Amino acid sequence: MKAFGTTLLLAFAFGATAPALSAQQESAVQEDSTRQIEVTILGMSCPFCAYGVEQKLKRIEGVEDIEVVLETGIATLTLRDDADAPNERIIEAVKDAGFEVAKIARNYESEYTAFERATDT
Amino acid sequence: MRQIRRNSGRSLILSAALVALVPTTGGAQGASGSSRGPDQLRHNPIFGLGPQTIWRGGVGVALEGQFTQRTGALEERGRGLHGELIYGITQDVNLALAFPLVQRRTRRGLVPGGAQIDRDATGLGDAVIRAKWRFFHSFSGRTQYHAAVIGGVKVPLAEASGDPPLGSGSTDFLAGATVSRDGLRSYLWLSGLVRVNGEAFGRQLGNEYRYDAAVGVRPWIPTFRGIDPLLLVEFNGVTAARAVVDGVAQSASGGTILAVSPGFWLTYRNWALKGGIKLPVLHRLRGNQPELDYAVILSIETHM
Repeated sequence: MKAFGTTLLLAFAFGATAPALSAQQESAVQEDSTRQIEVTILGMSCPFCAYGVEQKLKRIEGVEDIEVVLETGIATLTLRDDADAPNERIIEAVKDAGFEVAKIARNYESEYTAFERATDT
Repeated sequence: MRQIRRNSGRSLILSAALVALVPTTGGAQGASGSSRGPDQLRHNPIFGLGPQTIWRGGVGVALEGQFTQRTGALEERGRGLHGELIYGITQDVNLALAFPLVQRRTRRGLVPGGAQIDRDATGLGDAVIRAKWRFFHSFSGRTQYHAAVIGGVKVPLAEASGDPPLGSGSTDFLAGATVSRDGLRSYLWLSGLVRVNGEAFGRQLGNEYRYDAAVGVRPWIPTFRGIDPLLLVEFNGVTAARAVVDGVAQSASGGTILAVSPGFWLTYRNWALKGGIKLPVLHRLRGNQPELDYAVILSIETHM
């Protein structure tokens, strides 16, 4: 009887906590699956420069959000769902803003794929 | 002190205007800021030139207030409201249109300690169309080195035959070159400009040569979401050749003015508030010409 009670209690506890864990897990999975591109930009030294870069990069198709950090010279592009932004478009946008790209890194791509992409372009 | 107003004799006004013409609109007048050339382009120091350009397809709008005072044989106060529109044809080629509203007030003594004549004129100033080509840039981390050439034309839209005149009436040409080093911590600029003045009403103002150097320092590293301050000190020089009226070089015209100009920028994202005061340290003017007391510029600028 005691064993049955314990089992019931565990089952209840599991049942109650299971949805919460799944939500956490789901959120973590979702967070991991946010596709982001980090663009390191050369020559950006003032807010006007950063604003110009932001204006150009946010027009790239598939870009949902953009965060420019002047101190590091890095612009982080957040993409929509499964969208991608080709390197050529990013380089062109930064060039149109008057600057140069030093590095492009994607959080959804291995170093090997990035190398392949770089050598393709 | 007795003052003679506009109702004084017409011939007296015309004589005063003619006498005033050369020292007020010619010579080293450019240093006073009373008829500014291409001083205000994107990201320049306040009184000088810079190679910075707006992005491809970008539009810049600036509104600038200018205040000048000169004293001597003639006392003059000038105020101007300059609108400027900048367009980025490419990230390296920009076009700018400057269109000012100007007010000039002059006070002249007929004899020392005697009567004075006050004059006041307000209206559209001369428009300036300029092009800038940034022909070189090089990057090292967050630091940028770049150089540009500038060409422009001053279109005589202002009333030139009034008293005081609001413009020279001539079509003038501008050509200049500028280099800078832009960093997160500091900026350095160097620039030179020549203004070739045309002839109008039988008179030609002397060509003007400007040379400027400036340094800007940030008290802290800027952030994109915060206010970015930059403190500036400029060294501005202008040398002007003699004016020529009816083929005769005018003795009281031309010369050199050197000035030191502290200033500031406050930038927040795509908005900037800029200001500075030009304080002359050397006047080497030919003949009896009024000397510049100060020139002040305060401007607000946005890029879209």
